[in-house]
Amino acid sequence: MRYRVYLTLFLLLALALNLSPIRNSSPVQVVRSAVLTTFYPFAWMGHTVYSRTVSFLNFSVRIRNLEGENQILKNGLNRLQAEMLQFKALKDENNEYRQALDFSINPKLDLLAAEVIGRNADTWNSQILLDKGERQGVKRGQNVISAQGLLGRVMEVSALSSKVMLLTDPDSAVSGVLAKSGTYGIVKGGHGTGLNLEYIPQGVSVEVGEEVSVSSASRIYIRGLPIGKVASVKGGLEELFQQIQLTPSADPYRMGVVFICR
Amino acid sequence: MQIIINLLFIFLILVLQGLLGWASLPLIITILLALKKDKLQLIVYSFLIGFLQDVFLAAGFVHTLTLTLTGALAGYLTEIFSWEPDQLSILLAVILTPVAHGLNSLIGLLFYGHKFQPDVFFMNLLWATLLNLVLAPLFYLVYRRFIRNE
Repeated sequence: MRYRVYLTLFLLLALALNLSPIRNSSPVQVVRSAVLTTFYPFAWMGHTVYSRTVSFLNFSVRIRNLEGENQILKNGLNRLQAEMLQFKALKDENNEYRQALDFSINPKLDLLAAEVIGRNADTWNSQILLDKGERQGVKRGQNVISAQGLLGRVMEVSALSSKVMLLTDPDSAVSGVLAKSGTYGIVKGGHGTGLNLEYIPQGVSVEVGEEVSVSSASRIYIRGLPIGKVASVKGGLEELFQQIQLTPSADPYRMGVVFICR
Repeated sequence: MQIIINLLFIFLILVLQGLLGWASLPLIITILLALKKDKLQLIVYSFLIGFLQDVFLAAGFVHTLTLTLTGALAGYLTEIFSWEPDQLSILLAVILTPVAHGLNSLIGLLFYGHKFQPDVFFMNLLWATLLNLVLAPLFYLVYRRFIRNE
C-alpha cells in the first residue's frame, strides 16, 4: 500500500515536471540551480580524479620519449616564433581591412577557457557541463566555441558551472550561410551528432565539403563562426527545399577545453 | 546518512557517465537496485537518478519520468521472475533497455515535440542494449558485496 502511494506520487511529480508551465516556472529553475550548485563539487572531484589519472597514465607512457619530444618541441617553438611574426603582420593587415569594411565582429573576443566536466550522449539532448559559472562572469546566451568553430551557447548558469546547449541538440537552431553561394538557411540539430541545413531552395548549387558559417542574420550567435561542412545533399525536384546534412566543425565529444565568448 | 552516501555513489557514476559518454549507466543503477528487491527504495532512487541526470545533463525532465517508470517496471519484473540475480540482471537489461529508450522517445515526442528518427533510434537502441548486456552483470559482480552486506 505504502509502495503504491509513493509510486503514484513520484510518477505524478515526474509527469508534472515535464509539463511546460511547470518545468519553466521559477521555483523549478531555482531547485535546478540549487541542485547543480550543491552537487558541483562532486562533479568537479570526479572529473579531476579522472583527468589526473588519465594524465598520469599518459605521462608514464610518454616519459620514455621525453628527450626526443623535447627536441621536437624546440624545433616547433622556433617554427612557431617565425610564424607568429608572420601572423602579426597578417593581423595588422586584417585589422586595417576590417576597419575599411566597417566589419561588425569584435576582433578582440573576450574568451574564457572552460573545462568540460560532463557530457550527455543520448539522442534527445546534446549538452555539456562546463566548470565556469556566474562567478567567472558567464551569462546565459553567451557563445561557446573551440579552435575548430562554434559549439553552442550557454543555456543555464549556476554559481560555479554552466550548461551549454550544443548545435547538435534537436532544439538548437542558428542562421547559417553557405560559403560559395552565400545562400542563407537554418542549421538545426539532428538527432545524434549531425546537423541539418534547412530551407535551401532546389536551384542553389551546394557542394559536399562546402563550409557553412554563422550568417549576419543571427542575433544570438557571432557571425562568421564556422558551423560545419556539407556532408551530403539530398532531395528530389518535387521537393521545395534540399535536404542537407552537415558535419560539425567542432566535435564536442572530443573536447576537453572550450572557450566562452564573454 | 546512508541515503546521502548512496546519492553520492549514484552521482559519481553519473559523473563517470558524463565523462565517458555512456548513455546506459543510470539504467544499470536501476537494474542493480531492482536486484535488491526493495521496491520502495527502487522507486525513490530511480526518480532521483533521473532527476540528477536531467539537472546536470539535460534541459527538461525526460529522464526523471523515464527512469521512474522503468524503476516501477523493474520492481514488477523482479517480483514475477524469481531467477538468480546474475541471470536476472541480464533479463532486466534485455527488457528494460528498449523500454527506457522507447519511453525516452515517446516523452520527447509528447512533451517536447522532438522528431522521431527511426534509423538513429534503432542504432542507439542496439548499441545500448549490447552495452547493458555486458555491463549489467559486470556491475552486479562489483556491487554484489554491497547488496550482501545489507
